[in-house]
Amino acid sequence: MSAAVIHAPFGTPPSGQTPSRPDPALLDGLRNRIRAIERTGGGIVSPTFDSDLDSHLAGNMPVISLGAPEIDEALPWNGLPRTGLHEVFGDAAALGFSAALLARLAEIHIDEGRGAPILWCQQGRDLYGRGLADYGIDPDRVILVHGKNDTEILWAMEEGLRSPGLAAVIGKLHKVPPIAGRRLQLAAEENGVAGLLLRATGYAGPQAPTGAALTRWRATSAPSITPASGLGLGPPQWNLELQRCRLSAASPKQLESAGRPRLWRVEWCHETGDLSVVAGLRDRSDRAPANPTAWIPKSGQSGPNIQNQGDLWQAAV
Amino acid sequence: MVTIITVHGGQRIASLNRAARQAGISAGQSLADARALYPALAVQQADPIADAKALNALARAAERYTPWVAIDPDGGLYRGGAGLWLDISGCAHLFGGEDALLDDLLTRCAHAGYQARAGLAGTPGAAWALARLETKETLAAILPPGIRASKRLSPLPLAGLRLEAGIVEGLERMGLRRIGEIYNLPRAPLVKRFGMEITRRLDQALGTQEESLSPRRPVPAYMTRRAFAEPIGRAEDIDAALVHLLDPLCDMLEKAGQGVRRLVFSLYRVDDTVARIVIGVSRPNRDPAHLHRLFREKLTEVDPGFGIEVAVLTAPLTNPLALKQPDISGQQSAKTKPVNELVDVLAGRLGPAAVNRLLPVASHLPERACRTAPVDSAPDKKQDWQKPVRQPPRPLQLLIQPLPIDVMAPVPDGPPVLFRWRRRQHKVSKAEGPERISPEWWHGDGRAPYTPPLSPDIRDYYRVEDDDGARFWVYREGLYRPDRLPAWYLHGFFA
Repeated sequence: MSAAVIHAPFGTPPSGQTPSRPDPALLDGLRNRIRAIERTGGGIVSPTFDSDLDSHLAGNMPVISLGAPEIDEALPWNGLPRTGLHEVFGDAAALGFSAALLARLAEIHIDEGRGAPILWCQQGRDLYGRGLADYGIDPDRVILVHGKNDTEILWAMEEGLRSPGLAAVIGKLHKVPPIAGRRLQLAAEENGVAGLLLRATGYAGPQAPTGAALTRWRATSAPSITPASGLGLGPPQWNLELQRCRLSAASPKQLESAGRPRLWRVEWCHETGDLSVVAGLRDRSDRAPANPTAWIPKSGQSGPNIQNQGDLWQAAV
Repeated sequence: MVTIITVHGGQRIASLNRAARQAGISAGQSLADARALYPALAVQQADPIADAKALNALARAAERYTPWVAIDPDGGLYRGGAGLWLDISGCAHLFGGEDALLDDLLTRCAHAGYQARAGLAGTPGAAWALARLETKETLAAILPPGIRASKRLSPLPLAGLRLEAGIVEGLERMGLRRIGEIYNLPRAPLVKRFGMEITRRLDQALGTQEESLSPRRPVPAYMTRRAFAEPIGRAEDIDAALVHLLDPLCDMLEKAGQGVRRLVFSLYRVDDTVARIVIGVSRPNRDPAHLHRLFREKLTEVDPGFGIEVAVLTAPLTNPLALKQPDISGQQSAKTKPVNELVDVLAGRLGPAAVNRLLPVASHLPERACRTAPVDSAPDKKQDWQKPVRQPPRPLQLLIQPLPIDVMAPVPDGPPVLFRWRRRQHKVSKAEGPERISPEWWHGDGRAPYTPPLSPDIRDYYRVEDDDGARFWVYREGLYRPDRLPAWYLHGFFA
């Protein structure tokens, strides 16, 4: 049955003829497209040919500011799109970064007079309401869904993304099958809701990123700066890496933003909820491995993998 | 054939079939007596649990006639046969009259392999007597409205009054065998000798005293029912039937100003088994489209068996629902309605316990300061998320069970400099604290159980950052004591 679908673009082969010889003109067209991708793609930024995405880029996608102009400008939308799927990897800092994003997404809805709830889907019962309140998320607006496995969480997220009236949907997941990721992205885009994929850490085995998300981030903890008083902990600092933006190859913005740093040391301000860039760091894209999954911690290394990140970090600096 | 049960050290007949009854055997007889009457008697050990289960299944199947079905408490499984009460007031016309209904009922019982008798009368007592003791050959005994119960019951044995065996025996010793014989006896001596029971049962049978019975399951106030000319089995047909039942039900609810909290869709299969689908909604609702959507998740799991004859939709739990649906925060309903519906959909598939909201609790103990509750539960009025002034930040992730960690702390009541967690050493570069959290002694021991490793000891919490920047919430349990090492725990993660 699926074979019929695959054959369709090549034209229906005459009966009796095997479908091993597709239309050469079509193949040429595909080759040209791949060449175009290879020419423009900078290793990190992989363009896609999505007509719906193109239209989004052509029009003005509603965005939120992350509080740091450097990061906003590095994004082709001049901010983080409020509709669509975003993926966050990393250690404990990824949770903090996601919470900071959520707070800003939810805040917009308050400004528009909508106290819309946030759907938070995860397996564990370790989300702490008092901590959420510290991050500027009103815990009263959180609907917490406890799934038994990733499938249930993906289903709940999709239901949430398809439902009107939510400010944002976040799901903490181990594995995201490519099709599921694509479905989530479509649901988020069609319904105009933001979805966050928080990729859980401390889990053995490689976690392949989903190709469907609009942006992919990696947030890892970084040593904070001791306050002037010399006592206690300063505001948290994270190494924030924008690993991927999905955008059209035709977009001039992408070319414009190439060569800007995609790796920042940011500090999160508790009072304003803003991120501020502590130090702009050199673009790492020239060093990006050819294999796009090479940054994934090797299986067998469990735990938050801070050491590994530290090494990467050293290499980057 | 009979089944036997061991009572008072002897084997007695628990129940028997018609052939055994015709051979003169009766329930309660000892097995030896019965064998004497009919040596070729087939004997089986009674299985009370399986019998009760079968009776329950029968009661469930009988709900196709009326929602009011009760298991006969006086029949006693082993006192002359188990029985069911069916209140068919207002139901008989759906089946073409009382005769037709009883006919249908008995045919079904016979198909299912039960030897059943039915009695129909204006009072439960009279119906009971007719079903059990009518001597005519017909299986269905009906007391038509025109005939007085006293006339019909008078030739029946006294056992028809649901009296204890002792009372019946006592009456028989006085030469009284038929119900009619005690109609005109002076009541005072009867009561004096046998107790109130005898006159109460007589009055109940004749209808001069009210008798109330409780149905097996509460009768729903709102139900719609549909019988099919041909048994249906396709998923599309079941779905269509549901839509046909939902719309009138929602109309009824709207007229009554009610909304459902729970809906039961019962499908009666041709083999007299019942499939039930139950949905619950978080807030009273009567939107057919939404309710239909909730059912759709579960309809696929229904096994139609050999076909479904009757579909019944009941609303066992309803709450008042104003015409314009207001909501908790007093905002326009158009905004929260989709969210409520989403919650219903999620809870319908993942289970009601899986969808929650967070509620603040007035407690210093971090693990108690926040709890999860069903989405529709309102927060305690005095509670909010405002934290006490100068309270240090709380982690985003709080472990349900604190993890014991190995800690190196140079100063007995100072922060750690090194700790080991998950086989990794974390060198603490910065620390903040301590924040001392005392146990809630005012709750007493009974109110506040601590699950280990949480203990009713004071805790000194530190926020620590390791040299990679990862932040942890650790605590030391108890005050410093020179004679033992302090116990340290990891309780949460900051971002």
